[in-house]
Amino acid sequence: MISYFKNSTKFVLATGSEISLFQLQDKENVEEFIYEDIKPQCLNQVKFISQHNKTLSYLNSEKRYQYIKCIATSHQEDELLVAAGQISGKVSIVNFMPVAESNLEFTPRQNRPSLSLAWNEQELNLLAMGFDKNKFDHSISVWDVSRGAASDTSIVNLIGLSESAHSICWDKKNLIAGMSSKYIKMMDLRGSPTALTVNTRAVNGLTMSSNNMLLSSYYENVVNIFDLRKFTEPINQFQLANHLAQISWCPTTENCLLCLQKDSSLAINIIDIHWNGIEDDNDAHFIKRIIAPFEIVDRKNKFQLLSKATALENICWDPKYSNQMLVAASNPSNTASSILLMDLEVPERRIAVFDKWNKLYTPLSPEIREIPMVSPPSSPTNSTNSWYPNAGIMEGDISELFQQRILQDYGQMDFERNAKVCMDSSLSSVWKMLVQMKNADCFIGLRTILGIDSKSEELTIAQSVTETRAFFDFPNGGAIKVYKSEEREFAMELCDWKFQKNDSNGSLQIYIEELCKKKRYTRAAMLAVFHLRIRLACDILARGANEMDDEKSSLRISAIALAGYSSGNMWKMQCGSAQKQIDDPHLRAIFSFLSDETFNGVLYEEGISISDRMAFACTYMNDRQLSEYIKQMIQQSIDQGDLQGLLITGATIDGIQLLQAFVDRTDDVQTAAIIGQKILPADLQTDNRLQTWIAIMRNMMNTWEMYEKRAAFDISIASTKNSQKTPKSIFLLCSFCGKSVSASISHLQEDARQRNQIQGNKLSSCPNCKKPLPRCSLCLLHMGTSLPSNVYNQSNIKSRNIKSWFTWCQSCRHGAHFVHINEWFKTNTVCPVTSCNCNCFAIDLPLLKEKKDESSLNAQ
Amino acid sequence: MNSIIHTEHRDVIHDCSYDYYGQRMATCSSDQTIKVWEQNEKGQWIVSSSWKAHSGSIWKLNWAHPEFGAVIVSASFDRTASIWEETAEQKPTASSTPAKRWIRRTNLVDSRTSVTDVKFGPKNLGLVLATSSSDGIIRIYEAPDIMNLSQWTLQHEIICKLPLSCISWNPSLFRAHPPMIAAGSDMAQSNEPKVFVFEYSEYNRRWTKTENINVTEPVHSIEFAPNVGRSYHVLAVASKDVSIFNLKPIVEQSGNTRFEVVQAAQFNDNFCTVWRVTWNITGTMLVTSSDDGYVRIWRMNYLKGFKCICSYKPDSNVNHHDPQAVQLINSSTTKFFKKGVGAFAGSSQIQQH
Repeated sequence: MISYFKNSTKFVLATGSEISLFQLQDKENVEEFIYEDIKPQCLNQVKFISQHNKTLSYLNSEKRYQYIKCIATSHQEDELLVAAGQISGKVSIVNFMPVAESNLEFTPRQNRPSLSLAWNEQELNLLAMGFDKNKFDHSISVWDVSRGAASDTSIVNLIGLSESAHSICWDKKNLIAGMSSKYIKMMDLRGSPTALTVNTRAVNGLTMSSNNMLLSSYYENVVNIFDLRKFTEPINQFQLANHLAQISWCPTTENCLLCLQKDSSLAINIIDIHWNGIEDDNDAHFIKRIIAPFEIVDRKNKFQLLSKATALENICWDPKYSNQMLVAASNPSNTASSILLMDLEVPERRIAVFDKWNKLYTPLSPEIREIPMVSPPSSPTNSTNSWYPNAGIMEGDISELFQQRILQDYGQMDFERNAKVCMDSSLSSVWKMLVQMKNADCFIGLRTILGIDSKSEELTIAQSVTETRAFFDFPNGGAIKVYKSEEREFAMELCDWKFQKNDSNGSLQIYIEELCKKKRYTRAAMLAVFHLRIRLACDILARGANEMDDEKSSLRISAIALAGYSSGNMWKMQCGSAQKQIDDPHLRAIFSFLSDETFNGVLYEEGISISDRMAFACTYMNDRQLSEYIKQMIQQSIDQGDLQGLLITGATIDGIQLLQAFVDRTDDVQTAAIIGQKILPADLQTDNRLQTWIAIMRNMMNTWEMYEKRAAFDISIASTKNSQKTPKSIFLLCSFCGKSVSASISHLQEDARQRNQIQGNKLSSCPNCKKPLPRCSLCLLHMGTSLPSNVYNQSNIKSRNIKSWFTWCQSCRHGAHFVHINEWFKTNTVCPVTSCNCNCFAIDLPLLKEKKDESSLNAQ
Repeated sequence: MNSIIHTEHRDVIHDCSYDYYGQRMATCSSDQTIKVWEQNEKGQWIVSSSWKAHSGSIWKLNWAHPEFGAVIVSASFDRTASIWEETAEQKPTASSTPAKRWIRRTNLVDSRTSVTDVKFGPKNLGLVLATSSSDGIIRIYEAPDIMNLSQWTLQHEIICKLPLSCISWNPSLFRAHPPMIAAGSDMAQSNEPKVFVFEYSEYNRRWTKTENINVTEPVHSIEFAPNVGRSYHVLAVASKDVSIFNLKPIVEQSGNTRFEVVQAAQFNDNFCTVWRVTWNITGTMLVTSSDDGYVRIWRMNYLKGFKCICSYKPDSNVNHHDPQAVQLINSSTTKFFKKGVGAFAGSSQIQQH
């Protein structure tokens, strides 16, 4: 058992026959508190662990007891007085002050265990003692210790003949006792003892809350809470899972009750009770926290302090520091009977929220603190892992990626630039593909070009002509079937195989030369082979082997193998079995193409870009196969959310589905919104999904206060050919004739004759009724804006001089020239019109600028 | 750079909430007050208003969309939810700055028990809010006239049998998604499912329960991730551990929507009860706070796995990285660290553009 002395760092620890006095002290000369450095401190069979860098020092001990049942520390601040009740019923009082020698004892008339002890907080010398039941003796004795050893004069009260007192506590002058497992008695001992009795089984562990309002007690697994002002029945009752061993109110926080259960060996329950004090209902609210102090430390630091039989024994709140306590645990089976002691702080419940910049703030009681995001150093192996598996630049959360891209005007430029600023290699190849589609001005996709209907089972593909071709530069290579149609050729062009149309080697040669310059020899070789030029491919590979650091000499060997191509079975078999050992997908495709007539090794080779595969399919597959293949590829790219599939689906409903799959996979709503908005035709622009993506992006940019970027985004949406213009929502009406001024102006534009009537290219009267427009409340001139000199021009939007624009308050309807009102509101917040008390400027909340000035003043 | 300014919430802080622009934060506490904080140029948070709002602990608060003004709603143990609006006070002198005051516009008193949570609905539904209470009823209020915040009508009462502890609106902007609310119960002694999903049917004009999600431990916090255009909804549930559920709508032929509920991840927060989950703006990072006083940050990687990138104990100032704390269903081998290059050190930098 542990018990602190009042307002002190000293406490006593009672074990069996010994009471030891300890003191907790802050460690000296420790600059920084480092959690990891907790070490158990061993002292007189006590292992002490501190969370707060404290040390335990042993001061004194007293050993001459039988088995100690209960202890109580006196509330006298200048003395270290402890009362200890023993199994025989003897109550000894020990003073640990060095000078004091008084060791008083009280022995009840009949021998039976002492059950509880309580010192009075106001009359510090009164000790109440509770004993087990005996027919011939009183169960409670109140002893005035200042009158010396127990005698008739010093024993002030004797209460409860042949009853038992399970627990007792004081409320000022009143003694409260739980008796005989039946009732709680509250007795005023000042005059003749009068008692208030409440019948309840909860007679154990009586304690008063720190504000002296609530009394709690328990039996079995039920905790009762009483209000002393209405001491007739419990105001509340709650159950825990197991039988209770101890309950205790926190001395520093109101309405916080600690419960220790008998069988939940290592966990403490801490319960915050919220009760509104209304009599008629029992709906107090409990917030339960469970803490397993030793387990946490053990797991983190691997002390192996705990064995299976270890159980928490006793807990004592720190009298001074809120939420701190001492926890004692022991292992009954351990013969050495060492005690674990821990200085524990009950962690508070924390909330933390991300702000829009992914910074994390947590409100603590006195401040709002930013939580620094410290990450462990990344090792080289994981440096490439980020949002996208292959993003080179950005690492981190996708919202940061969005912000970076917005600042670089992602989506505002041509497609080539998007490919650069999207900061992801796989996305940038998607953009490059879209560039090709844009250059061909064809976003309808290969499926539509080829005339494949994904829903119908019939063959709707445009019919093709079969041709048998031999290898151009490899005479004994045999022949191969190719399929041709106009649609197929156009499709291949979209796939960037533009060298098909004219059969001359020229364009292919140039393309291959370029690839070689980029050191992409294997792809170049593959293209050569697919165009039936094996010799060329061998040359390319040989060149690659020469120019590159060909470590495994795979290029060289491939060149040799390729040169030996024959249509015989021998070569093909060797190729087939070598497939798995070839690392490079393009080389693999070459040999697969030459050895396997189903071409599956090429068509389902994911290392090859979709455009190359599609072009290949358009050359070597018959109509039925091609149409099946394309349907399959659409499904596959939707399943994988692979935007390369846009080449096949095009800007169709399938394309939207593909974009949706991409968003589902990557959360990259930005790219989906931009691509969708750029490529989809007018009838699909209104698709709910696209509109949602755009709304999400706009919402995010608003939250990030990137208003100008958002406006640019809005303009780019409005400027796409087919979108609807948002209608004007504000009209200026003439206060005399009630007709729209702006509408009349546009009318005027057409009528050159009337235009002359407006002086100085500025409109200051209603074009309808010729009455003057309202005056600026500051300069008192009639308001009016200069007319646009040229017709609204989409590509070249000119903003007119904002200075003389109409501005007015939405609530009082007073207005002025923009430049004047702006000047006015720099120093004023009310309306410039004399008789008007409208707080025009203050209506727009929050006034951040002002607030900031104020707060900086406060800070000074 | 930890900036610290002192204030005096005298009791446990139960909730904090940012306004739409993230410029202001409101906190509420057991000391029955609400405080509104603003950040000054130095990035320090300063209390700009503080007032006693209820006669009981205040559990939750929430900002309305700025379109409706500076409006906060708070839910309290005193059985009420209150709507607060910031107003400019009329001052006799023209030149002085008018003082800002928060005024109680209305008190929603329908609940007979503690109001445990309150959230404004998505903006496209108008000015609506939902409250949950310990008597197991979700109440949906609407302000028919957004200029008059003192008039709210109780539109719907959804009765759940269990006492409710938390509530969350699905923030999806997608028009085909009907309004949706998820609620959790913190009842301790039962093995029933404790997370419920309700949807509003325009046709029937009522809310119906569409899903029970099988979390049997008491639920303390629940939050839908901001939907960044995904076709499914992501729901985080804080209970004994953190669970992430994906709700994918399946349209049945009858026109009813059902959801395919998949547990996407579950992680044990250091063997402690989790009190609170919150998402970031894209729904890709999650912060949890648990019983041991730690705040942990989880980041989703491209494989949709979650990884604890940082754990922090606010009182101790010490950061830990605890790689063992990760337990994923979606077991990815990828590790995921390092914050992006600090190009977004502060909002001031952004505003230049």
